[in-house]
Amino acid sequence: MPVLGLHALVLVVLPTLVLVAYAFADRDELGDVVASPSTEAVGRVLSPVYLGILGTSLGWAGAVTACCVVIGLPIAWTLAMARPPWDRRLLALVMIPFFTSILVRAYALMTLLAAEGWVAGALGALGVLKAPPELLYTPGAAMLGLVSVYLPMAVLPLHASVAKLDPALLEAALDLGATPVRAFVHVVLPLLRPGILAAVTLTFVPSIGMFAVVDLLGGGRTPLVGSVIANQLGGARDWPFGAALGVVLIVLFVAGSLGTRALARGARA
Amino acid sequence: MIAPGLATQGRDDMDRRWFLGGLATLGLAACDKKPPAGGAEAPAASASAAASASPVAPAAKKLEGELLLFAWSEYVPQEVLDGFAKETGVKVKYETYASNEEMLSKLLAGGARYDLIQPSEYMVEALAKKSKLAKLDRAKLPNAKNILAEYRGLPHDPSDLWGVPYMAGTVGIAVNTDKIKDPIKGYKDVFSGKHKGRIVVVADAREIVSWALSSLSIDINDVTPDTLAKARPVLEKWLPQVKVFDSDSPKTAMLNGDVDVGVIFSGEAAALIKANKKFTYVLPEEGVHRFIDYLCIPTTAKNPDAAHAFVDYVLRPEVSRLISDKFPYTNPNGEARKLLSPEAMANVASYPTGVGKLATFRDIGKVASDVDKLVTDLRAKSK
Repeated sequence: MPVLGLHALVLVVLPTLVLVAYAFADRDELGDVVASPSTEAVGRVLSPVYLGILGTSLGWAGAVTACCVVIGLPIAWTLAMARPPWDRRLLALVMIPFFTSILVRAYALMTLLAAEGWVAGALGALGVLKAPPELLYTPGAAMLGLVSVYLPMAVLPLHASVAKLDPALLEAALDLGATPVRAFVHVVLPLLRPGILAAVTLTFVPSIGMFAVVDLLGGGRTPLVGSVIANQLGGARDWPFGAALGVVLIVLFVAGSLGTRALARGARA
Repeated sequence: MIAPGLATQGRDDMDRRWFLGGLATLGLAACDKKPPAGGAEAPAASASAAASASPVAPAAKKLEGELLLFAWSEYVPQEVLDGFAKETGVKVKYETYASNEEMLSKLLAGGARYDLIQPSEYMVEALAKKSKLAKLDRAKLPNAKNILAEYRGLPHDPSDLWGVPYMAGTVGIAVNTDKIKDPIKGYKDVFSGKHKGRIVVVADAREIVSWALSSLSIDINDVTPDTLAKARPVLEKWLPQVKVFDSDSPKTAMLNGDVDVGVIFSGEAAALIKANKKFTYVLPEEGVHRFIDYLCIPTTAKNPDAAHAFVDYVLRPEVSRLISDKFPYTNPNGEARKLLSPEAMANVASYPTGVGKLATFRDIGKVASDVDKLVTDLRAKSK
């Protein structure tokens, strides 16, 4: 426990304090933080430009999370119902994407979606389309990239929940006359709630900060909060503002995590 | 201003840049373990031959230790590092960055003590102003005489105290002439509305704003809230026409046929031309931004002797030529240019003809954040 406490202090508490201190500090001409208080950075967060970007980012992350859970649930179900040795083999397939970098996978998608890429080529060869389709550098491509990157993060906790599900409960519901839909909504979903909440957290939190995949596949036309933060340190020479945006995200995450906990407790009660 | 990877056709060199640049920013340090740019390529035999045949620098005393080089990705060939190591016994560690500002952030953060950095001219000025650079010892750099007169005594460093030019380039317009038949002369032709959704630009706020300023005949270094307000309506018209914002490898979208015209770095354009003659490069008639990347020694350098030796080594014509062969930017080394092939000298992206108004960036200090805000705002609105 003391070791854990030290870890938390060094890796979480201190960096967060530095972040908060930076957010309320001034900067010099090179963008470096100087020790004089300023609320300029925090004030900028509240300007319509950046509030709008935060909103857009929340929307993107929400959509990615929803897609991952909806697509991930049937996958997790299939995994949990598979007989040995197929359960392990299928699970390995879910894990394999983790062996490569997210960006390598994004580039793989770019190769497929480019105007002279494989998908357009295949569609052309089949004579489906007259003009080459616009696939790459669209919001759809960016969404596809994000969902493909975070889907395994949703499948794993969902799988853990589905595996613990007692099939007898489902059978009982069906025996007692529930339609499959009703049995799913009233029996299965409440039992899966912890897994779903874990899947939501594991996809939502990283996807709101992810911008590289969005920029690569979406063409960089939609600035999301992650890229704005990176720009403050890598372009705008405004570390305090980058820190202020980071603080806002942390506040959102803490609020979200408290909310999820309350929901999870609700599931147990 | 990323040097292009010519040996490869675009994709794999981009990953590397993303790993080293983007991921470091993201904090995904675990993915940052790829070898530095160029590390995978075997040194060319001719290269080491050329390097070992050259005379040893006159001031060469026994060097030791290693040299930590912090430079643009895809910009320093592996054979140059190997040649230097072979001759001096000093091993070069090459860490990379993808923008001046990224380099600045890491230098200020102070995690590593770099011996040699490669800032562009305006960054040289900013760093020198803040006493972050060591004055070069000219006695240790006899080969600096090879630098052309036009690269000496420039406004950002009038007495050439802080750095030696490495490579230079311009930001201009790359055109796919198979797709675009009408003449493109400047920004106004790119953003006329005819090419909406077929344009790639570098994702660099200061760069983008400078094009708008040029089109209004405002000095690109006159960046104030007032001139930014004037640039705003121009950019409001331009930015919604852009399909891709990409600084890391803007040539890719053009190579893949996703866009037809781009405002990109000359080295990227040179790589396009080398790949396919349907591409051409045009210097915008409204005014051209030229950048010059320098080799500089930070005040915190651990091995300044080796750093000086490396700079002088790079200044040798036959070594400098190797760099130009691999990364076809504009070589400021007059003696090295004499060794380049006629074909290399004829590449209009590397050595443009009919050069008009060339301007370099000056340091603009804190206004940089207003520039970033303007472009971020317009990008967010122009979906």
